[in-house]
Amino acid sequence: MTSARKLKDAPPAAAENNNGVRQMLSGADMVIRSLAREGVDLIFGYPGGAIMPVYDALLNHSITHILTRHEQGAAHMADGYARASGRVGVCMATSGPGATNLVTGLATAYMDSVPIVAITGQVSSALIGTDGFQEADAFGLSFPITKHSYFVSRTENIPAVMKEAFYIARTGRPGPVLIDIPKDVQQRTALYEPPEAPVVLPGHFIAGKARDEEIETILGEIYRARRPLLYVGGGAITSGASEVLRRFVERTKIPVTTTLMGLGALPRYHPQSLGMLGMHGAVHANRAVTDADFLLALGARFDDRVTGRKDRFARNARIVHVDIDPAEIGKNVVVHVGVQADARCVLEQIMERLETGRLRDYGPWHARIEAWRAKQPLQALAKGVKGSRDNISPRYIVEEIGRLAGEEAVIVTDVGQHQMWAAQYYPVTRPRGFLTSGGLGTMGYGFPAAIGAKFACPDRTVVLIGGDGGFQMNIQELTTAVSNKIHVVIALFDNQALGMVRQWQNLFHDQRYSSVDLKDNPDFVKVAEAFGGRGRDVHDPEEVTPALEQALAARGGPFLLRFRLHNDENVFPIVPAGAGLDEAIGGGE
Amino acid sequence: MKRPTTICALTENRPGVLARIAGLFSRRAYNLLSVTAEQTATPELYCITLVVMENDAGVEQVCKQLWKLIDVEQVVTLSPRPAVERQLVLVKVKAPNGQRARVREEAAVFHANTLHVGAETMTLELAGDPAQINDFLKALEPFGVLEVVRSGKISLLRSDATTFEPRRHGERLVKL
Repeated sequence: MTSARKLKDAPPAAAENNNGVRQMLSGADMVIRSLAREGVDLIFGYPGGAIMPVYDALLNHSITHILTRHEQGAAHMADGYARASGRVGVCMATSGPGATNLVTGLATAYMDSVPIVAITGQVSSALIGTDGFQEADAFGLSFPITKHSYFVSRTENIPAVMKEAFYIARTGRPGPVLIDIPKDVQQRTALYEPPEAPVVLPGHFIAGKARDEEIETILGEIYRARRPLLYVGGGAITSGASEVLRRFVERTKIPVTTTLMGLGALPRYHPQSLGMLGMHGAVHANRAVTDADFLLALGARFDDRVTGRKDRFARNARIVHVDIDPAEIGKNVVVHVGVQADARCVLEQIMERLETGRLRDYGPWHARIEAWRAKQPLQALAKGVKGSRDNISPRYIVEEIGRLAGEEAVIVTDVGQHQMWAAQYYPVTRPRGFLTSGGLGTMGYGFPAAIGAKFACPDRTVVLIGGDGGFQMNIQELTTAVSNKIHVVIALFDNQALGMVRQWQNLFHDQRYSSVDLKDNPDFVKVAEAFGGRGRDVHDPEEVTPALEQALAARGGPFLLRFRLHNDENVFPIVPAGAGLDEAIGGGE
Repeated sequence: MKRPTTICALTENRPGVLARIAGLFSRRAYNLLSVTAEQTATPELYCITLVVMENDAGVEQVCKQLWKLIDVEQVVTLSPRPAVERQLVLVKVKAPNGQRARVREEAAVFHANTLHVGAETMTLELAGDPAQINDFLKALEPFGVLEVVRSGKISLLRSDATTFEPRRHGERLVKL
């Protein structure tokens, strides 16, 4: 460590001295040089035989490498880093099992449009196709789970490939890009030519503004509507639309519902915010979708968890769909108007031309929504309900975290019941403040993503809301958190069960519980301590607040709070699979 | 209603292009009838001709998903626009001594070429539109068809306009 530190502080290696001047470099040096050119100062990874030249080159440069304890952890950390910061996350692994262990992380990022560049070592060119030691076709594996990928066969191509990869990852609809480099290509030296030319992708254009006539069409739809609704997805966060979205809804008073990925685009308790729609969405939000006569979808993709039964989704509404990815328009739901454009640009263009005087009176529409909200308030479930010993109310814990963690906190969830409770109750106030695996639903995502988020935002409080099942899928990253003194509060909703699966068996499988019992869970507090972190068992509702205060105030490493829940606690409301959004079960009546 | 539709994709000749396209069809469950890939007049560009069995919405999705692939530069739907279409068939038919002249006559009617004459068989070649090829195979049936292999369909617009637009956006940074 000392020698590595020394090298970092030493003057830049010879390769960096002649900026822009052609010189001979190894492929591995070109990889690192390219990362530096992209402004990367932190990468997550795990070394191995086929990537060793790049790890060697790392020692000569100032880029910080975080050694994870599993390649999947590296991919999720790069993801959490990217989501929290808006920058491209970088992860690195060796060939074969290193590359296959990245797969889940890349698929997770792809489904949620997160920019990642993943670099994998590959066996030497001469061994490719021979089933060599630790050989797996990382390039081929990447096709269905990345935005794009490269197999680099020539050393001199590395700088251009790296530049193009970062460009593709972060532009348009962002996504992960994989670069697979055989070991000999890393080792060979070639003439280094800085890629000064701009990236060109012939035939592709990155959507920005909408055309004027499209804006006029959208405005016409808005002016005609008596019961308009905005349906906002993760695209609003990616495009940085929050600020203009807020101005738009405050000027028009059009109510807004967001998807799981769109949480934070508008503050949870903004007067125009109806919260989340979909399978576990608020009843009033789902009814608003069903009753609306105009739906403006912004950067959302009509996922089945959002729409429920498609022929009942927004069946009274004219639908305008704005998305940067034209392939999303008309994919799941037939829309009346499709606009390929950036969500923020479209809102800004609308604001330039909007004539408030032409808007209809939404008074009756607001009154109707408020009546639904009053009848079935999501909040009422939580008010005054704290639970009992070893049966703490998960809603209460989420609201307490929301109260104590502060508006600047980054909340990361894993996948399952706790994720939905967090989505329903956490008072998210800002974009990039709520990170969750929405599309792929990857258990094990939360903890490494939280570590990545803390690296991206060291000054923010980072809280993982996790479950006992998912946490055990990447529990090894406790070491990564401890050794890097990463303060993440791990709020573990421990119900000794695979809760969401159990809930479905409870509701839809005649309470036939199959393989959902986790009563043999380890003592998570001791586990955290064994890794070098701290922890606290929380049995009683009265302990929730002091325990959270202790964990939030702690510094210098992870702090695990094991909240004891009862496994009969279910997430409501729920729209059963195949039902319409207006056919929810539960909801606080 | 699902019907055969010809889609032409102009792609860069890069590793994995065909695998990406094939993967797209399998993982999105699009119905693919035939696929042909070959170099164009520009060596670094390939034309991939796909015939899909989809309704209008399905065809639109296929085109958008194809276009989304970074290495795909242009996507053009030919049908129902007027297009010239060609497919190649090789057929091995029984042609013992007494029958050979009649097989040759039939081949001549269709302007088919004779590629090989063996002791008991003849191998014929015909390029035509798919319906013409079906007629040809039907006409050969009475002689005894032993083997048939057909290529995928290739197609161009039946007009002065080129199927693909000229390249507009310059060159890729990554040269291969």
